Amino acid sequence: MQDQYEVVVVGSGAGGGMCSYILTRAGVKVLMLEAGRDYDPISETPMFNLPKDAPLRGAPTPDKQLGFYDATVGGGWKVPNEPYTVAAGSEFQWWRARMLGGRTNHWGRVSLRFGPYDFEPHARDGLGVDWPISYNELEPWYDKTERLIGITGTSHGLENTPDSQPDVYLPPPPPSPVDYYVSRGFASMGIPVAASRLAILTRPLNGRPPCIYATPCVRGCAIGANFQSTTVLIPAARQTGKLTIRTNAMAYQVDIGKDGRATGVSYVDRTTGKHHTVRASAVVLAASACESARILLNSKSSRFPQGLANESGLVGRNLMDSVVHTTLGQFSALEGLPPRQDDGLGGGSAGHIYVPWWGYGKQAQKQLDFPRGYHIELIGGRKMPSPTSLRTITNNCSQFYGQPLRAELRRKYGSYYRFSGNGEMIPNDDCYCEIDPDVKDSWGIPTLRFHWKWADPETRQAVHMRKTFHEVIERLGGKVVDDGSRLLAVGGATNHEVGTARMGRTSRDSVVNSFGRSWSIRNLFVMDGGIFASSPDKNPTLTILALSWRNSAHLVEEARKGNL
Amino acid sequence: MNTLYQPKLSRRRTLQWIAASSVAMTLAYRANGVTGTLVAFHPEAKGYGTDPKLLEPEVTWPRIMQPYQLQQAAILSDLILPGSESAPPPSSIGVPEFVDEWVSAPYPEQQADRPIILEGLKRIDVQCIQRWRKPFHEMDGTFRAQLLEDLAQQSADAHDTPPGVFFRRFRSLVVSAYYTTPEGFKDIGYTGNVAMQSYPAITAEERAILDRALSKLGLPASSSDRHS
Repeated sequence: MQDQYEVVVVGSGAGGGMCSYILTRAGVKVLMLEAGRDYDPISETPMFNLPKDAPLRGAPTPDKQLGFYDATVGGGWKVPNEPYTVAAGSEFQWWRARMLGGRTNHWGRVSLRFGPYDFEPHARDGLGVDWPISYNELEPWYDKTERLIGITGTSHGLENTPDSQPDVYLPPPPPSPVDYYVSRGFASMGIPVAASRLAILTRPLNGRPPCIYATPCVRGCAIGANFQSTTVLIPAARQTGKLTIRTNAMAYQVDIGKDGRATGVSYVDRTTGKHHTVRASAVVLAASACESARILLNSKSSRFPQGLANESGLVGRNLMDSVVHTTLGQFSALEGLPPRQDDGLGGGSAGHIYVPWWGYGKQAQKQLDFPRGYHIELIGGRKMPSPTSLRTITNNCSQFYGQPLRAELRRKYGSYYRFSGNGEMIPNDDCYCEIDPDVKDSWGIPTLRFHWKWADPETRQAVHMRKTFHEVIERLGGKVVDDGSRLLAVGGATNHEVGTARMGRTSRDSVVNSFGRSWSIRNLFVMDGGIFASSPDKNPTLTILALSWRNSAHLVEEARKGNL
Repeated sequence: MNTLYQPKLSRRRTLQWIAASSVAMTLAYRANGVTGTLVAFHPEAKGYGTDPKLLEPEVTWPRIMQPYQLQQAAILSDLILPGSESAPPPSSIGVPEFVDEWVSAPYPEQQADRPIILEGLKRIDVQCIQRWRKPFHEMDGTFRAQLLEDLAQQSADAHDTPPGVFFRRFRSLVVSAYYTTPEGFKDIGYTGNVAMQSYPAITAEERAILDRALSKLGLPASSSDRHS
């Protein structure tokens, strides 16, 4: 027996969650397919739980790679039964969650709008491609999205760092003492520091309570004070009575009818291994940039030998992540601070302040040897001690044992501060995913093979990050205690994969149009980070949400006009 | 500490531990304690998987350390971070059990630490027996202190020697275990994980400490403690 829906949405994270929310509220009957299990943050989040109760005090293991209490279900870098491969000479990691709400359950909540420059990178410096839309076109959708999910921050009027509408921002918490100290170092270099913009409430909003300044956001939030698809979008979509959710349903193919239109989706039930087909008038892929590319590439037929929506050959190409370099500093000036309750907004996953990219002017005057910007995420203070943070402190103690060691640990705890650059990557021909001809997952579905090579602009940008961090640490009388084992993180390590089904103005140079709609299959849409034409330094989730809202509203309109 | 260290385990865990010990004993350890391999192996140990119950955490692997190894670990832990007037010694808040849980775990990082820790403990016993004809836990306090000092010295002189690697790794485990307990939180000054209505702004006292430090570095203080 086959199911019939108006729209089938593959994925339940930022893209799929928002799409289902918009469609069901417009009265559209939606089936959501989620590869992972059902997940309920209200009953499952380990809020306030202590390291002493967790195996290995919560230290990361291959089963829980960001620590025991991290929300991610299903393995993260390695999902059992679902391998991927990396081509010789490449390094790439792919983070996956197998749970309702996907990666929105553990993300960092950093929510930065792309700016006007970010939509026309090629026009400005001749690299990459321009988006088919401008900032002005997306601006109203950013406004709507921010009003719905709640953003804490302030207006700061900085170049290419657009502010929200004046009534949108929830008031930010004050900088912590360590934030104050570090911001004076940046100020001495002429670098402005701003309040973070985070999808975490500091005032009640739409029935959700504000943050309680305790417990790390990566565990998820049982009270719904931060944004997760599972606390903000999916419950509201369910209330419409128009949403059906099927979990453990791993989509692997978009089915095509004789007329060349999508007829629905085939999936395998991960618990039974049985294959199913669902029918719908339109199909939305929002399974994450790489998983959606995998589905398109695996939907091969004699009519579409390269996979679906792939006349341009660009499905899986232009894979991008963020450019990240992290440096840890230790500051003797911070050793003398009295203890304070310091978990703060974000609870260790994000900080109260950040540094927006300050170098647009210098880049315009060709004073920098890399073309694109980065912002700096800053975290410090008296966070809950963990085996990982304690190991760092211990290894940097000069005392060996006894009361002197105890005294040094007490003094140095809280005196560390982390600087993490998040930069824009330019798409290049060496970074892409494709179907591995030899490897299949446990259900016989061909898997992805990744190719990755950072190019010179990224390397030079990371060098600049490191130089900047060292300078600010030195000005503040601190010392560099950890500069990472490498200049640039492994590709994919920042979980910001985008670009694999990019949008554009013509079918020759893009996979989808500006509404995420396939050029060739008019009732097939992509609504995750895959459609990004570039990967600005600003973290992708807010833009995935805004685009999904805009494109879902377009889908509803087209359906009403009979244009699907 | 001359009486055998009593692990603070629940009855269920004690039973698991006894069951595991007997397997480990027959598999690996030779009775005199100074010869043979000490790297116990438990073939059935498995991890907690990619979807453990976060609200009911459970250690899924059996412990492999023997009672005298736990006792050694207890003595060494208490030398590394002796109790103070306001803080308990590590052996009284489960640190040796954490070392056991760690070296028994079936994950690569912990399996790499296992021989470092267990062989390090054994090396200490061998040394004591060769020089003084009794195991480490029967030595008196002065000897133990001297031995720890020797270890620390070796760690300082040559990072890569087995005793140096053992000392740094063991010490790191002790500190990790100690300061992830409520007692450790209190001692190190972690007062978070408590719900607050608002995040408190920087205090005058905090501000004064930081402004003094900034002034010494020649950096101007800010006229405001709000966001710029």
